[in-house]
Amino acid sequence: MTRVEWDGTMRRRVLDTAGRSDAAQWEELAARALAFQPPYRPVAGSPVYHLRVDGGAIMISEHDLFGPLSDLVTAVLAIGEAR
Amino acid sequence: MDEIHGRASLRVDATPQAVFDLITDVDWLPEWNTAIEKVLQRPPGLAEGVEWTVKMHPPHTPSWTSISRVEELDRHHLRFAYETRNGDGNPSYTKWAWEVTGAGGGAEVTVTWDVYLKTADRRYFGGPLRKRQLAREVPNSLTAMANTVTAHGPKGTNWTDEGRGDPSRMGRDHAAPGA
Repeated sequence: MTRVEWDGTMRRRVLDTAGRSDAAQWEELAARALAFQPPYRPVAGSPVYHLRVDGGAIMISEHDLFGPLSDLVTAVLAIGEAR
Repeated sequence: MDEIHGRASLRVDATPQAVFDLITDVDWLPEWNTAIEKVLQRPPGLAEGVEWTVKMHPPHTPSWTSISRVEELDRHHLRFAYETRNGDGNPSYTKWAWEVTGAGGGAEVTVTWDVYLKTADRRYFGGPLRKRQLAREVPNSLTAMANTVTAHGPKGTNWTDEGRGDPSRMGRDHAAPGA
């Protein structure tokens, strides 16, 4: 996942669920998060996110992050590995 | 994780009334609460049952809206309590309680937070993250609040003589026993 600030600053985090004891929880969260994908509507001054899950990819504005999608982005940003 | 509980306190070199006035002034929240970016909606006056909405934006975290409803506003005993929930409709909520007392010519402010996580995602993912965030945010916000009240002060501030205008005294005796 990549967070792109309005000034172009990027913050990338990767989380590999393979071998994790909590892989099932992550996969369930990802499934809930991607069940509803809002349209890409960037807002001036706010970050956007590029999220890739198992080969699929979505772009989303921070203004449209809510529910499981917000939970997923927040968790990956905090726990994911910087690469 | 179903619940999160925490407590923090700080001694401030200002009158208890000045501290309480700042804490209960919604417009001033972004000045000292390090997680609040701006106030989105405010009531014309603060009273039990009224709500306000802020945009939360801790560093390196997506922003979210937070709606708070006043549960107690006791200007005599300087107690302020409210319940906060996420604007996305998640049923999880947090109960915040503030109390300001006189201490050594200044004020002692204590805040407690009790978070109740009501969905699986918040219990497993959001809760542990928010617990760590709060452990950092609340002490930082208390220190910023002390700086704000001593540097500016809300309208009608009644300053104490001790420590007035002396930034080196601000935030002394900082303690966050529950953080």
